[in-house]
Amino acid sequence: MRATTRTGAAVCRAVNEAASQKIKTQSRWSLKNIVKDFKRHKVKYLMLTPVIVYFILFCYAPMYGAIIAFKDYSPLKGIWGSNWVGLSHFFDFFTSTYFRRVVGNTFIISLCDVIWGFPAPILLALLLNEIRGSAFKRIVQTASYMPHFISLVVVCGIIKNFVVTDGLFNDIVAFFGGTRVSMLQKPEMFRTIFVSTNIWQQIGWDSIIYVAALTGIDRQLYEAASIDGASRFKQTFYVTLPSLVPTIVVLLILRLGQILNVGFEKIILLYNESIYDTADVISSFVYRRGLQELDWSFSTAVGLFNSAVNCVFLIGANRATKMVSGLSLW
Amino acid sequence: MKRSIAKVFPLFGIVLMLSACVSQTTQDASKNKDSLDAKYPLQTSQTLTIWDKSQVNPAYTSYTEQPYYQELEKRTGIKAEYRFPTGDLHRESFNLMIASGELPDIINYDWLILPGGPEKYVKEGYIVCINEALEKYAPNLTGYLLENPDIDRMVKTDGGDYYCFPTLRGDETLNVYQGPIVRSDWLDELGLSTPETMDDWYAMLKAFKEKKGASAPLSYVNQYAFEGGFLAGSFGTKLGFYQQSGVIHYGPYEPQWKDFLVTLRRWYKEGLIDADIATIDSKMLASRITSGKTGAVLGSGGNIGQWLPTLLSYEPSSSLIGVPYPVLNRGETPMFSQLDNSYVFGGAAITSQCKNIELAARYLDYGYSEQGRMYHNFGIEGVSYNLVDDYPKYSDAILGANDFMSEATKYINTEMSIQDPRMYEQRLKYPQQKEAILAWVKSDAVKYLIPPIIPTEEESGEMTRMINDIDTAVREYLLKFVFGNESEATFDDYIKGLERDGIKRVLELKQASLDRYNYR
Repeated sequence: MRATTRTGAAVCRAVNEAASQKIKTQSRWSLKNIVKDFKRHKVKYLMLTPVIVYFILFCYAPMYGAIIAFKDYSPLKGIWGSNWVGLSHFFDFFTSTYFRRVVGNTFIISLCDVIWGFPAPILLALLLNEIRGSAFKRIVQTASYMPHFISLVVVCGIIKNFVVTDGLFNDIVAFFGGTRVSMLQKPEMFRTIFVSTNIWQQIGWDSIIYVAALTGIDRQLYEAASIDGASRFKQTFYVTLPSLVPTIVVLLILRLGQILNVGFEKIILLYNESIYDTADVISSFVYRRGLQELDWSFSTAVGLFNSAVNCVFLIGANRATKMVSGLSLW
Repeated sequence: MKRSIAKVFPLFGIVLMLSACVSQTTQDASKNKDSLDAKYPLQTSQTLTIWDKSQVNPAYTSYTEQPYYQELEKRTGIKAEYRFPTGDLHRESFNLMIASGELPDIINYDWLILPGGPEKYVKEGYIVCINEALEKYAPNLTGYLLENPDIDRMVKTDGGDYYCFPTLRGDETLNVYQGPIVRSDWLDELGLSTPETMDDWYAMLKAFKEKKGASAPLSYVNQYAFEGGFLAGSFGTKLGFYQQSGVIHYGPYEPQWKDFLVTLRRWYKEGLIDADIATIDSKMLASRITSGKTGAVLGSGGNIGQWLPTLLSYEPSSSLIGVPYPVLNRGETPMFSQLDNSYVFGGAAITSQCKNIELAARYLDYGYSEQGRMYHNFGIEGVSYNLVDDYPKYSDAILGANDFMSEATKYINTEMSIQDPRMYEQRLKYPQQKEAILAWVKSDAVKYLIPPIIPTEEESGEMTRMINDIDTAVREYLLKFVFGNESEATFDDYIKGLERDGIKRVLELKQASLDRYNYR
C-alpha cells in the first residue's frame, strides 16, 4: 500500500517537473545533443529499454493488423491475402440506421462520466487530506478501493438486484412515498445508474494519484498561509488545489483521449432492448454486430474510427489546456 | 426469381462438389494401401487431435481422468487428444482456433450457426468434404442416413456434400423441451381448469394476482420467450422465421404481430406480467417461481426438475405442470411451439490438416454403430447402466444424483452420435416433466418449421447485417410497445423501418435457401 503511494508521488512529481520544464526550455533536437544525452544517461536508457520493447511489441506492432478494416478479412487467407474492399466497412457503419444514436449515446455517457466522475476522486482526496487521524484515514481509503477489485459481472449483478421493483433502491423510494419502477427499464435513468455506479466503483482507486500528489506539497506553504491567517478552507483553496492543478490537467487530458471508449462489458451486462435509446453505445453495437457475427473487418473499421476520434480529442484537449493554463502533455 | 435459382443451382452444386472433393481424393488414394481393419478396437499407433465444443465433467481436472474418454480409447483402439474451450466461451475459442490457422484433426462445432455455413469452411479450406470418406470408412453413419432420408437431407450442404459426423436426435419427442409451466396447486385451489385459450390465461393470471397475491403472475426471460411462439402463436405469429406452404414468413413483419403486442401491453398494464420483465434472467426467473411471486412461466422440462425441489421445500403441497401453448379459440391446435430440427448441434468435421482421414472417419463412425450408440447414450454396462428386460437402466448413482447430467456425463456423451429417447425418459425425474413434454408437443409446429437451411457465403454476407438490424429493431419495439412508450399508431412506421432495414430482401434470400434445400 505504502509503496504504491510513494511511487505514485514520484510519478506525479516527475510529470509535474517534466511539464514545467517543457514550458521553460525548448530542447534542441540536434543529433549531437541526442548522442551527448545518450552518453550521459547510459544506465537510464538501459533501464528504459524493456518499456520501449513492450510498446513496440504490444502497441505498435499490432497496428499493422488495422489494415483489415479496409479488407474482407478471412483468417486462412491471412491479412495480406484477403481482398481489399476500400472504405466499404466505414460506409456501412456511417450509413447504419443506428449510427447517430450509438455515437450520440457514447458521447453523452462519456461526457457525464467526465463531468461527474472526474472531480469525484479529487474531492475524495481533498477530504482525505483533511483527516488528521491516520488510522481512520487508512481505513476509509482502503474501504474506498474495495469496489475496484470486485469483478464487473458481480457488480452488475448487484446493481440489477438493487434496481428491480422489489430491490433495495425501490424499497428506499417506496419508504419515502414514491412509486416503484423497474429502473433499468426507464431509458432516462440509465445514465444516472451507469455513471453513479462507475463513481462508486472507481472513486477510491482513482484518488490514489491525487493523495500521492498531496503528500508532495511543501508543508512550509501551509505554515506560511496559516501565519497569514488563512483558514483551513482557504488553505485548501489557495494552496492545495493550485498544487494539484498540473496532475489534474494531465489526467484530464488523458481522460478526454478516451472519450469514445465506453466499455461494452458493463453496458451489455446492464442494458436491455427497452433502453437502447440511451444505453446502446458504439462498443455494444460493435459487439452485437461484429463479434457475434465474426465480422472482424467491420469491428476493426469501427475501432479505427473510435481511435481517430479519440486522437482528435486528445490533441484538442492538449492544445486547449496549453492555451489556457500553459500546461500540456507535450 | 425463385425458379431461376432452382434451375442454376444443381449445376453450381456439382461444380462445388468437384472443387471441394478433389484434394481429398488424391489424399485418400495414397492412404488406401495401409487400410485399417474395420473391427474395433483398431490397431494403430497414430494419435488424433480433437477440438470439442463440449466440456470436461467438472468432477475431473482433465478429460484423461474421465471414464468416458478412458473407455472410448480402449474401445476404438485410437488415442485421441482432446482440447476444450474454456468456460462458456466456445464461440470465442473457436474463432481463436480458426484465426490461429493451427487446426486439430477433428473439430466438433455448431457448423450451422456460423455465418456462411459449413460450405464456406469447406470452400476456404478449413474442413474437408467427406463424401468419399463416409462411403469408404463410415458404414454405420452411412447406413443410418440411408434409412432416414429426411435427416440425410439435413446433414449435407445444398451441393450434396457431407461435412461432419452430426450430433442427431433419434426421436421427435427430443426436439421439444420448452413451453408454458403453471402452478397446478393454485389452479386446483382456485377451481380453474388447465388454461387453453388466451381468455383462460387472462382469467388465470388475474386470479393469481388477486387471490394468490402473486406480484408478477406471468414471468419469462424476454430474450427467448417468443421465439417458440408462446402467446404470439395464438395470433398466428412468432418471433422468428417460419414457412407456410413453402413460403418463408417473418413473424414480427406480419400484421398479426400488432394484435399480439396489443394483448401483451394490456396484460402488462394490468400488472399480469412481471414489472421487471426486460431484466429478468434465468436466475431471477427461478427465484420468482420458487418464492410464489409468479404462477406462470415459460420454461423447459429441465427447469421443472430444478425448481420443484426448492418450491416443495417452501410449500409441500405445491406442484408445477406443463400446459399446452395457448390458442385463441377453444378446440384449436396451437400453431407454434418450441420445436427443433433433429439436426441442430452441428457435429465433428475433419479438417484440412488431418493427415489420416481414414483413421478420423473410423474413430468418429464408432459413435453411430450399434455398440457406439449404446456407449454414447448409456456408458459402460455394469458401471453406468444395466440391462433390465432389454431396457438400459442407469445406475442408482446416476438416477439418484441431484443433477442427472453432471453425474451421467462422466460416462456418456450426447454429441457426435444419435441421442436415444430412453436416455431422456430417465433423465426426467418427476412425472410432471414427462407430462409437460406431452402437453407441449401437441401443436402444428412441424408444419411451419424451417429445416436447417444454409445460406451461401454471399447471401450470408448480405443478410447477417440486415438480420441483425431487424432483430434489434423488433426486440426494441416489442418492449417499448409493451411498456407503453410506443403507441399503436407507430406500428406502420415500425413496419416501414423493417423494410428500410431490408426485411424484403432477407425474405427473398431465405426463400432461395429453402428452395435449394428442397431440391437437395
